[in-house]
Amino acid sequence: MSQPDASVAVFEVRDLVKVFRARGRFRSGRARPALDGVSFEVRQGEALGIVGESGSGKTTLGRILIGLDTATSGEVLYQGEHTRAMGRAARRAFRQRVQMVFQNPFASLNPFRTVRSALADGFSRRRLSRVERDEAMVSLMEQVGLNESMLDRYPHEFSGGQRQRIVLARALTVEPGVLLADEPVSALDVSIQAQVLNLLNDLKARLGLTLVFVTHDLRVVNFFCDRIAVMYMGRIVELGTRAQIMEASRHPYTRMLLSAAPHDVPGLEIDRPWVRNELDATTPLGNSCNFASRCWARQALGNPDRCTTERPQSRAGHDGQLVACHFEAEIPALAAAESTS
Amino acid sequence: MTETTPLIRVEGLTVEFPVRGSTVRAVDDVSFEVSRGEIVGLVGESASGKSTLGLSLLRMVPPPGEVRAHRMEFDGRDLSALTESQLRQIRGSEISLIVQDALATMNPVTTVLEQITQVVRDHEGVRSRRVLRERAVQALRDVQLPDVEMNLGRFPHELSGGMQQRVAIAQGLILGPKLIIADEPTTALDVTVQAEILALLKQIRDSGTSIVFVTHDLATVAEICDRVLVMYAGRIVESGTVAEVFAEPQHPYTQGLLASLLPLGGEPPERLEAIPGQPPRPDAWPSGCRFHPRCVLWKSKGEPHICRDEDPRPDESQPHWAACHFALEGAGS
Repeated sequence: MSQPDASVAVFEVRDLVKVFRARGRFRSGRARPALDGVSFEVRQGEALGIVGESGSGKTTLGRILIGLDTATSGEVLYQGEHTRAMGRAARRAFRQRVQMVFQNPFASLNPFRTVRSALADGFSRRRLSRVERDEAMVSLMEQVGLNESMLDRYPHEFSGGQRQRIVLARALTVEPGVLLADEPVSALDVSIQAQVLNLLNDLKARLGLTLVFVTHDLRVVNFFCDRIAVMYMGRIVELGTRAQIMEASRHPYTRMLLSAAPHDVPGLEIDRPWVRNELDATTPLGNSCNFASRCWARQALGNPDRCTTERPQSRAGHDGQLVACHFEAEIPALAAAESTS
Repeated sequence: MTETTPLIRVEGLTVEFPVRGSTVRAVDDVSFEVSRGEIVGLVGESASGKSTLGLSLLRMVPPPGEVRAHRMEFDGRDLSALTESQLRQIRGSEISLIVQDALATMNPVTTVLEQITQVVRDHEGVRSRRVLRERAVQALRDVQLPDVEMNLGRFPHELSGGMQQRVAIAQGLILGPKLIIADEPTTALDVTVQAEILALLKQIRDSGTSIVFVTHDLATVAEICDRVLVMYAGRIVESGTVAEVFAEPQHPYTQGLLASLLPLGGEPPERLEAIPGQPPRPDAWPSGCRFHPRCVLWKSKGEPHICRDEDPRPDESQPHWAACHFALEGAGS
């Protein structure tokens, strides 16, 4: 495996829009786009976290990225090639190089097939002899922390953590370069979560995998990701390195999300004046910041008109951090003032 | 009844399920108390028995499950001696239950108003529409549901997840219970909504209602609980105030759980200190200390026989105890 080169973009996503249209009697005049102009890149060998609350569009984004769904407009480039315009050979290679792991490992496995049979599919393309294939299977099982004797069992005989390992092993049979993981540890017990995260970390380092990690869990992205994109109502509101997002965020939504997460210090009374209002999907569309109606910073600034009349564009600062907020420069100071007041 | 006696006092509680000719003990001989106006966290992984223990306080363990206890007192009464109809009087009015999936507990074809006043009609026999409406409005205001008047006429599916959970909590509070069993009430919610629901539970506690908070998430325990009971394989393995247990966990399992809790910010560790192995299933609890096959302390001590052969017998009269043969040595190691 050659060393991953972080200056190379594996994926380039440009201005992605996805609108789900209800049909028939459920059709309504206007639909809020699930993705509303999303642009970013995934660099070789990195773990990119995509975080957001339910309805933020993070899962839709992941699905479009790997070709499970198509965008309404905008483009996805994989190694410089449009995923929609790929020829047969390129598409086949794409499907082999890009694999996925989802939240519910039980739904991802066919209950009537043994582990051996589930893994065999991935090997069929690799033209291995039977002996070579069996050896490869055993070594793969060991890599994900399972053993050979489990190959002839059925999915129901395994615990949730073990099933997630099987799903991982299956994804690895085709020797992928990119792995999309959508909430891969959310359904697992705390002690098992740590095991699977360690395993993912090992595999990433050993195989030079590029990982796109979709999750709602800020603790998980902080542990696992090199860069983090924060989504809110179909837009990426902030994107930066782990430290930029977790420790020096310049977007009021990211700040709110971080302060809302339960801390682990007993007796610490946190007042969270800025956490308010559940996601309000009726926010006016068009030329407004999507977050304006819940924004504590806007309130602290005296409700400037700009927030509701002009859509903030993501701008990259000198440090490469992308922030979609008109008042990004003032956010850290405002946040410090809010938390001490 | 004086205010100093505990609201709940349970000794030797066991819950058994018959499975293929034998019996499985989901909860095995646990004892604990819940005081008035405190939140007790019941923490554990799947199959630890935490939810079953929560339900057993309502004697709502699904049949053919069987609850037995040496003593099971609620507010001075013996819960195990009550008839089914007496229990029905207590459920909802004195002890209420809030679960993870609020939507599933609601009738999809009744409005929020009907939904939450049903218990008032059933338990208090109130029939006046005006009174019922007033009670509903008050209960929904208490849980800070936005736009109460408008939401009264809505159906459960029209509400967001956080609003559904608020309605479920309002329903649980409307009869002024002394105890709420909250089984993973915020697990399905987004963090911002979770923060609000947790704040609400603290307010409920401050108004004098006790809460048994069943969860797998230690961070939420730190946030709202006063005391914590850590469950493993059907037993309570550590008990103490949240401050003590988090500062000085005595049981290797608790230590492992706390180490698995990922930091929120700060340079992440290279590797996580994961507890090896899987949580055991109720039909095959390990012998002796049930945690010993996964225990790093046991391995580091050269696998002493005592852990495999003997049940740890902690001194449960202590304010902070752990069911580990080497509990005090284990602390801080």
